[in-house]
Amino acid sequence: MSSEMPPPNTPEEGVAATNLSSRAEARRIIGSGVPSTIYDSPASSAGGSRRSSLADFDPYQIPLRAHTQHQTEPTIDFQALDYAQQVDEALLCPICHTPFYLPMTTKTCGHTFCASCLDRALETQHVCPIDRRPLDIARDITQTQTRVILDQLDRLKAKCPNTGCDHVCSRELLRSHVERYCEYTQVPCPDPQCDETIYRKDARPENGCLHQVTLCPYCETALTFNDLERHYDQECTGQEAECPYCDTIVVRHRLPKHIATDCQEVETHCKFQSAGCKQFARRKNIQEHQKDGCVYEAIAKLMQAREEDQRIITELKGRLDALDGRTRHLERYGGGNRESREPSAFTRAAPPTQGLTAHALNNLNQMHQATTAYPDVAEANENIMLDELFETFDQGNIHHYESSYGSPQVAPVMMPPDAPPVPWAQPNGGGQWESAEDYMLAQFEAMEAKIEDLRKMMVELDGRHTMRLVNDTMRMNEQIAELGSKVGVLGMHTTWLMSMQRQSRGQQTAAGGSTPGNARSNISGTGGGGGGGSGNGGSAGNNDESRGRTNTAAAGGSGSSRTATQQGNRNGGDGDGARGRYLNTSEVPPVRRSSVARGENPPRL
Amino acid sequence: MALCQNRLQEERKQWRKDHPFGFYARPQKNQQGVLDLKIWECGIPGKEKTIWEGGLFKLVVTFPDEYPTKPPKCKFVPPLFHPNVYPSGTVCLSILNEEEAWKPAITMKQILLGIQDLLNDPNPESPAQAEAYNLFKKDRVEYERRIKRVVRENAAP
Repeated sequence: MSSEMPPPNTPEEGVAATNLSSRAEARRIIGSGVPSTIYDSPASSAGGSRRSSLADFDPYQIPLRAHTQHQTEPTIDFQALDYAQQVDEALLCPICHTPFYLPMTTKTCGHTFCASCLDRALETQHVCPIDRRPLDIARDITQTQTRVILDQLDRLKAKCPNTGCDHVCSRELLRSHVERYCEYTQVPCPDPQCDETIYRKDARPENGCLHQVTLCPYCETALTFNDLERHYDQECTGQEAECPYCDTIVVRHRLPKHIATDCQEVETHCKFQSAGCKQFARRKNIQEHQKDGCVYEAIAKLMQAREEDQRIITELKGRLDALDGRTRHLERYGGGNRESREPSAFTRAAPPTQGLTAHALNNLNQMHQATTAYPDVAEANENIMLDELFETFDQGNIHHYESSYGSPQVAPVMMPPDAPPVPWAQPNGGGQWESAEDYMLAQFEAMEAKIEDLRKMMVELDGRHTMRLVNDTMRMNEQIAELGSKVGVLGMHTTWLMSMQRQSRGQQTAAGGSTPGNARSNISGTGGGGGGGSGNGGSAGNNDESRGRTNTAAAGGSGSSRTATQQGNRNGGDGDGARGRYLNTSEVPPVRRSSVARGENPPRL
Repeated sequence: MALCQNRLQEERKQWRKDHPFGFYARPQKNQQGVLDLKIWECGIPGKEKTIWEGGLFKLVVTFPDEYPTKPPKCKFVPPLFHPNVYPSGTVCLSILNEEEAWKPAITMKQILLGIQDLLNDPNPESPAQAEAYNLFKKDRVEYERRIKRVVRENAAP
């Protein structure tokens, strides 16, 4: 029962639990003697202050209850609602015979009624209105709690109670609709000086107050602007008007329409005026004239058919242009989606086209007879379009024959010189097309050829692209390998420098605490240590050198994307070989080699 | 008041949707030609296979402002020869008595069907007119003869 909603923009909005308020309302209605304090706060009195300025007036911000000043009075008579659907009889209150509103259930016998109905029934007799069992108002009645029932009631589709509004919504939303949105709710007049109410749709500040008294221009009754419309429609005594041509009495509102279409006496043109008929007479004569057969009728029909044709042709032309544009676009940017291995757009497009060709041929074999009615082109989808196309062309042909054989004098009208010629009559590539079929077939063939060309081009482009891709990646791989080796070189240099630094620091500490002799023996010791392990530091230095060489080799184009570790391994091997070479051939003593390394390596960096 | 009007609207809707064969019930029009939902003109056919068969008895049902809390008043026009019909034509029936069996849940259909039942099944416990009651009690043949005359006078079209 969330239909009980606080008015908008008031402290209550969103604060008051809707269920509580409806329960309070139910309790108030049932008059059970339980004092209700829940709903004591007035719903809204802000309506007056809001109306202080006309410019600020917003009819959608005014809750109905702010105007009526009956905060707790339901503004909608829920028992008088019209429902848009058949309501289950089980949901009808046995008293008012409408769907329950604020249902209450008796504890003793389990019967359910609307709160207000039960209240009324208990005014006279304190018995259940169904089985006449005695009821204690304070004790035996409880609000219906069953969610299933309440939900069903909330969901009932009800019509808006305001006359003129045909809004239908679920019943629980009805109150908010009426109070906030319904155009036919009476709201205060936007003029702060005026105390009248007005439909929300008319309550526009720019309209001003519509309650000023005016005189009906027809019957001179004094009434307000607000009532004028209704007065015209329903009660104005001057609402009948005499047609100036035929003396019939018609409702004043209908007079213009009457003169335009119905009046028999007014002078008018033949409806085939556009086809060239010069007839201008009273409508009754014109009708006779038309019944007898206006000579221009045939022309008019032909023109109509031609217009129809023209329309279809223009539409098809537009389509063709669009397709052409697309084809050109694809030709130009066909390589755009060469990432995909196959030219999917074309493989997808091709089979339907072939299918359509077959379909078209089939259609042409059947050769439809001309029909008077044209199919609705606007709603046709693409396939149907083709059907119609052929039909139209058939009809076009027949019209053409008619115009040339049946009535030769009509031909100029049929084909005025300034009219755009039909497409198949245009020279297209090879020359004049004999018929629509030929034209269309040629078009199809041309399109298919184009598509075939494009497909070939796509395949070619794809191949080229793959080639370039492979080449690019190879070069990139090489560059990556080079960079990796360079990083390795730098790393080795760092290690070497670090070890050197560590060595020199060790020497310094040793020199600080011993004699020069000790210091020399220390140096030789270190040198021997380096040499004993076939020279740890030396191997590092050699590694550097050899790796420099392998680097150049890699840059020469191994084409592989080996990682730095692989290279390091290989370089390590190379380094071993180089070290062996050094050891075997030049037999440089380890200490000297280290000194050589110390002297020579930095410049090599 | 609003409850009364709403309920009568619903009654009318329901009646138009579904009502027993041979019966009619429609709100009267007042002087201005506007429907007055509180006064209905009804017709009750005599039950088949009874002495009342073939008759159609006109009834005016008047609803009080307190309806449906209080029962409507049903009155045969013209007054009917029947033990439970007052000389004024008002029907004496338990379900139409606020003190007895009236319940707000009772519908128009139930009222009219109840009165139809009452025709052939008078309740001698609550006589309303002396003439019919006495004949019913003492001279059943004469009573039935009178009924047949009444039926002829109020024959169904």
